[in-house]
Amino acid sequence: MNPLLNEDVEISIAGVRQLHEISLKKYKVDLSIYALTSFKRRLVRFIETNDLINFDVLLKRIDKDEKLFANLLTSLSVEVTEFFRDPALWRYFRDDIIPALSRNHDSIKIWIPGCSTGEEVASTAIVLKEAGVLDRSEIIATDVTDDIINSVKTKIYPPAKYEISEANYKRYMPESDGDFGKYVFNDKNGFKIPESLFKNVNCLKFDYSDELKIRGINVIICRNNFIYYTAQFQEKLLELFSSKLAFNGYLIIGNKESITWCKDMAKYTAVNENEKVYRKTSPY
Amino acid sequence: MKYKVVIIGGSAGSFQVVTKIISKLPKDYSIPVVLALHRLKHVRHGFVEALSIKANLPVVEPLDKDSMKPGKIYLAPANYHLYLELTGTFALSTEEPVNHSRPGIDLTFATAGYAYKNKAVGIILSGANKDGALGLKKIKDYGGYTIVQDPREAQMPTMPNAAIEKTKSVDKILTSDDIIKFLISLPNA
Repeated sequence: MNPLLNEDVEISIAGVRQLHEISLKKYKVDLSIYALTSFKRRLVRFIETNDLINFDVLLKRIDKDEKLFANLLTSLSVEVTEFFRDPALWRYFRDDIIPALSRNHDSIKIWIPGCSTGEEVASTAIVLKEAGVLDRSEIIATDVTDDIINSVKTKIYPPAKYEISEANYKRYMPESDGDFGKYVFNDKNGFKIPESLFKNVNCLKFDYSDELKIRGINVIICRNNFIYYTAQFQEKLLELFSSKLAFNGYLIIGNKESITWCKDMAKYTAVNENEKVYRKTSPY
Repeated sequence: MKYKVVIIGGSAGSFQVVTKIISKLPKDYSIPVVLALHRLKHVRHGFVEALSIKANLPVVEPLDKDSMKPGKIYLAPANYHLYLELTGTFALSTEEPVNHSRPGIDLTFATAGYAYKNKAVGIILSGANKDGALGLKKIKDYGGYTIVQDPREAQMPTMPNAAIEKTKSVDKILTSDDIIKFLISLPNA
């Protein structure tokens, strides 16, 4: 059964509000930042996979069960992506962004918030390596729960991901018929990214409520994360990103995401409209 | 009945039908039309352009949180699911594919049914799988109007047949010409 299409699980708006309240009161976590439809869909999936029967059971149990709440947070954050999704973006990253940054900076700091299963982290590391700047780069990968962060650290991916990722990589590197296989090795559970690619990757739990101490970021890669948040939270998120980005730093979002209406966009100039790449052209 | 949205779902064999339908909708057609069509996930460009050639109305791929406006045809973008929200806006998601597809027709239909209740018209066209059947049933359950392309006319009858079977009592089974007549006969939004 497809979540959201499951006819046995109905979630009312009033029910969603109740969950918001419990979460804020008991765990100090604000779930009202999530956009409604995908939030409900993930709740239904969570109810199914945890055999909670219906939404009322979830509400009753979540109040007392800390582990269940942590699992809920994890399942709210998982997105389904590929290595080198949108190959044209990665070409732009390689051909325009990295050269500009490596000309002007000794070290390159990249933040990947909402890194989820880590495909963007590994793709970024591969491009940096190919550009010969991996050694002087730092990638900070964050997401909202320890479970997500720990799974990123394993660097293991299911076999089903391989084919599309390989095809994406070939499209990223059509001139030399790119060989994605050279960056991975077989694992009994699928395929694995080697440790050497992750040596400058720093995986951290960060849930937007506490303070992230890093500053002076050169690139924020946050693709297809904004879509899961309400317009109000999108605005806040952009403000946070602006405060962390260095002058002339880049912000990359998903190609169908739109944040141009946010007040803080006044600080940015679009440098690639198709791939949604913005440069922070205000020093503040 | 005044309808606020028309959602059209299709897969293999639907492109020509969709092109024909949107080429016959007049310039002042005010009910927004949402197209949830299976498409190659890595080909982002070209589809809107191909549909635009014959259309009298602008064809666009909605961005996340865009408002749905009258007089436009919206195409679900490649490699995203497209949801219709209660707020009259679109939402996108990169959650797992449904019926091996992203965009998944079921999801766009189900969210449209939930958000627009008896103000939604759902139409399922040709296709070689069963995506859309559950979504059309949802539109029906929420009180919307349901139409399926006549399986005898459809290039690939699997999707129309699945939708008819799942929904049990679709309101109309029509040829593409009659679908066009029906859409044009609807009062303006």
